[in-house]
Amino acid sequence: MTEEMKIKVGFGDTFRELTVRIPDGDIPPYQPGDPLDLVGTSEIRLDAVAKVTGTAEFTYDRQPKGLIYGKILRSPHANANIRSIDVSQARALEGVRAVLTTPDVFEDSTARYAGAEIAAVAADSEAIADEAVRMIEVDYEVLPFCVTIDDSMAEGAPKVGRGNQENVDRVSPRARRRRRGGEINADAEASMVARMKEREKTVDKLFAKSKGVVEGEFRTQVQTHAPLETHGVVCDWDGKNLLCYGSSQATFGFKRELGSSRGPVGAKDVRVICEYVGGGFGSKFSAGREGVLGAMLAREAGKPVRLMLDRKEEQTSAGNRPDSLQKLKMGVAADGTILAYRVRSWGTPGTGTGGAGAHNDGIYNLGEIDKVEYGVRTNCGGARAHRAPGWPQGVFALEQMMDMGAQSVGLDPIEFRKRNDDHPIRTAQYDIAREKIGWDRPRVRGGAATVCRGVGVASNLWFSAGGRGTQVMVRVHKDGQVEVRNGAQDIGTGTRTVMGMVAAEELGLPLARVRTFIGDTRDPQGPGSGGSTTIGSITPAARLAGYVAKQRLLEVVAARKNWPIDQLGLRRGHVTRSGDPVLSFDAACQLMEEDVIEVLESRKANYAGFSDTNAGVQCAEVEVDTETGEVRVIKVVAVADAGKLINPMLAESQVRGGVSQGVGYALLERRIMDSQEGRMVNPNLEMYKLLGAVDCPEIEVVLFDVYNGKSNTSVMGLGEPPIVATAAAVANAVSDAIGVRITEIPITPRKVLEALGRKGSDTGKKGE
Amino acid sequence: MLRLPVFGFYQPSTIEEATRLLAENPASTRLVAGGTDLWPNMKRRHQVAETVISLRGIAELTGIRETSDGGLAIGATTTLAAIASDLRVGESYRALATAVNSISSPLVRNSGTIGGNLCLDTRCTYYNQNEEWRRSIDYCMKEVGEICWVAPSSPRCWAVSSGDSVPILCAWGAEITLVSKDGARTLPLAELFRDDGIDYLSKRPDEILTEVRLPAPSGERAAFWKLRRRGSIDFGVLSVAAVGWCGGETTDRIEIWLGSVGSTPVRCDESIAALIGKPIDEDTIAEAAALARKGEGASPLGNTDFLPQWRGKMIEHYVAAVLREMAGLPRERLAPRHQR
Repeated sequence: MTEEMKIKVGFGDTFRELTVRIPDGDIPPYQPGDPLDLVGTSEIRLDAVAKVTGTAEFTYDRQPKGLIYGKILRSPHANANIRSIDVSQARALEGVRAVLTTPDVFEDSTARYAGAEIAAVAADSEAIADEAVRMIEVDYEVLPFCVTIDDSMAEGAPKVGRGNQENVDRVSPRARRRRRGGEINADAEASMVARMKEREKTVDKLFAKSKGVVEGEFRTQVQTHAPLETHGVVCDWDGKNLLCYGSSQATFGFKRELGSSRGPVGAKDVRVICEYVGGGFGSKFSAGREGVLGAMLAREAGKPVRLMLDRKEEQTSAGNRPDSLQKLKMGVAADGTILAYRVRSWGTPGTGTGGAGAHNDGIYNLGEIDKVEYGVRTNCGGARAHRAPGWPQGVFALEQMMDMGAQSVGLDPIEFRKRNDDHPIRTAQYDIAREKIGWDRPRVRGGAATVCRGVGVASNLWFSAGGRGTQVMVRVHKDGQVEVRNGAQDIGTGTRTVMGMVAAEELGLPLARVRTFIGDTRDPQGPGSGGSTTIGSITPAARLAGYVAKQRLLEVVAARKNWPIDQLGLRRGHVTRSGDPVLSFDAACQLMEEDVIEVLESRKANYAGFSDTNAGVQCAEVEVDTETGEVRVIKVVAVADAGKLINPMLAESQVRGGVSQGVGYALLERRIMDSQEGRMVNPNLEMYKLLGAVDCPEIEVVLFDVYNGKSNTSVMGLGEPPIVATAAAVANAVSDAIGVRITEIPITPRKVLEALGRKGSDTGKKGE
Repeated sequence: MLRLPVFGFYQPSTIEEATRLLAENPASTRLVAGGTDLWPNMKRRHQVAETVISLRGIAELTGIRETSDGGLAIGATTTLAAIASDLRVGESYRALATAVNSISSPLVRNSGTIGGNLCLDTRCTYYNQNEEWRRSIDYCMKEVGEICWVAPSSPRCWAVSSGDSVPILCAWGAEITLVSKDGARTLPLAELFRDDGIDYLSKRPDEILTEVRLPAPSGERAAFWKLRRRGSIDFGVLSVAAVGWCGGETTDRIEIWLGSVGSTPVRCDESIAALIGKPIDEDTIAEAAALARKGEGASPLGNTDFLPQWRGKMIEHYVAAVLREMAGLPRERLAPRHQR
């Protein structure tokens, strides 16, 4: 059952009517001109004081009575099989309460990267646990290894995988296999190959017709998540039931995982608590082996166990954004229309082959696309989803191709993009970014002086309005207290705050009057924080729950006061009658016969909206020293939309965070593997360089407030999209400054000087 | 989380008491002031101690005073932040304030001290790792290992001296005082350092560095630049300090010192010789800068951030930049963040 109705959608001064089918029981989305007191204001996040004063309790801060400490033994070898593990000495050490091994728990006797879990102990102190781990004797069959994409792709390279696992696997289009992981279905594969050949021919023909044809090879590095709080759990059993404090971005995901009867933990009931998490960036959906080991150590020891990774473990074993090698070709018509686009790309997701795709074929209308993608196994820590997985690396390459394509037909880079873009929001963003960065200002550029400046542009795209499967509870108590509850976590986007804001708005209360509860799986179901869906999933349910609670309260008031209910509302702490305040909220609550009005509402399905995707354009300005090769990002203008803005300051924070991480990705961050020993050389925050405050450019954020429809709060996801464009915009700006393209990140001084050297030799060739 | 090992801890209130405690077992005792170097090193088990003596309780070790000859005396436990914000330092020794302000982060400068920075342990990519990492390569010769991983055929350790206050204080001709139970001695700061990554200080284990003294200003000009990957927190991979005295058109005296290029601070003898008696202009700067790169001791190895070849090239660019700034010539280079 759905209700068809007309809503206004759009942004700025321009709105149009759209007929949508709103799910039964839902309320219409915010509309332009709605009298909103809270929504759209920059309320300070509810947990700001707790976080800066240190009273916020993170997983690490949890200290159940009798707590003991877990520690994992990790492989020092990049590729090995475990022949045997002798834990007898460790077990005999005084103060050791539990010892587990990976072959026993995970039925895995391989150690396929330096850092792989081998065994785990729990002991009365960290020092004893440390000592016990050292006493475990492991007999390894040590094998040759590959830790870089080039090593792994080389002919005769050591095999990373086991059995029939090849180092390089075509992941898109994927080969049909007879069973999962089994032999390739030869007939299906032959017809797939024939189709791929056809496509190649089609695209070749279009290249032949193109005015400009450009080609490039691009590389991006492995980026680790490096959240401030490392992964880990504090686990406490009560019989067969597990209480798990977890550093998590999916409390219900942890609960499912640790409670699954097929998993090694198999707890009868699991309660996961994560009121605060010190960053996840996509790496904390799963409790991981560390979470499983923490839970199992606690059960075996019969005591609560804390198992938190140290920084080295975090950097080597807790996920990363895979690297990429992307070979791209683009054909452009004389009028600037892209006719055809070819992609061949490779990425390393660790010891597997899935999840290293590069989104280098999106955003723009790229004509006919011929894309083949490969996953490459390496003996390195595995990838986990990393803020816009696949996008920053893909867009880094794509956006350079866009600049090259523009140049091939003599068009301004921004004009060229507009010509190949029909996004209803982004097309309005280009000129704002252009003006704010001062695109057309004269600059010393092209490598013409010791210090040059340049500007670059890049775009981003996102596609999530959130979805079903979330419930929010609102309780209005007789004493006037209001609770808003959902069991999901807040990985920093401000879930706690915006959930309270939309409910408080319905109840006509200031934010301070509602108490919000998150991060406890005893509260209603909530989403994992992935795909930038948390706020889009939670707020419509919270708003609806607030609305229904309001109606229930007004029914009480109407009945007790004998006022017609259709004249009543709630605003600014009062019941209003025909718009006038007639009764305070507290007094209204006093009229309740029951102690509490309790409402549990579900997130309804999405419906049509102004745009299924939200958009952004970023421009960067850089300064480059052409003698030292050093690069400074001076300014980044980030134009972004996130549907309807519930809290502009929190939205702006997400954009700032994304841009900062993007600048670090462009210039600094990279996992360095030692090819001799196969270990990560920089598994700490001294040598793994995150962007610091001093290096952060001026970031100018321009937010669009889009009445998008799709749900009753019209929210679109914003956590991930801002990081998508930044490295690309920075790289394009560097190329503009020095007059030669940078094809690899991070952009280090050496690469800048090498590029300038190439330019010298190119010029030489022209002179011949 | 890394934890400190167990050790004895004293906090004496006088230098005499401190030297007496230290004399009891100097080899297994360590001094601490700000703790920004020692505590992390002890947590990572780089440095071990049965006893740690804190100098923080000794009032006379803290503070900046003018000396009778018009110079400045800086107590060893004066924090880096206090030096950087001192008005007298800002007025007469601005390049020192710049150098001190370039050290790590504001938090570290609030706790870290000048004495600690002068005695900073030498650093190396193969050494500044956690214990488990070092154990997996059987350590290196700076610890219990056999070889130097940076230069495996080398008989010596090449860990890098990276105290950022060192080059500028050496260039200024600073003196230090070392005090032991048996008395005090004064020596030029430059003589505190030895060209050895392991045994990098000439200070005896029973001595306490109590004070560093700057000569009275006499019309000199000075400049300091530091190179590193990020604008803060990172240790330098090259620091350049120059102090020059020019009475008339030509240079009477000049000191140019490099830091973070080897196990000891390096004086650019040839560049200095090339400048004395000459005006500082585009040409002489270019010559002096080129000589600095070729000078003895100025050959960075692969044991810090960045490729050594690039760091070598940067010596020339950075010496030129520092001399240009000293001479008041236009910058024409991307300046380090700490310069702004």
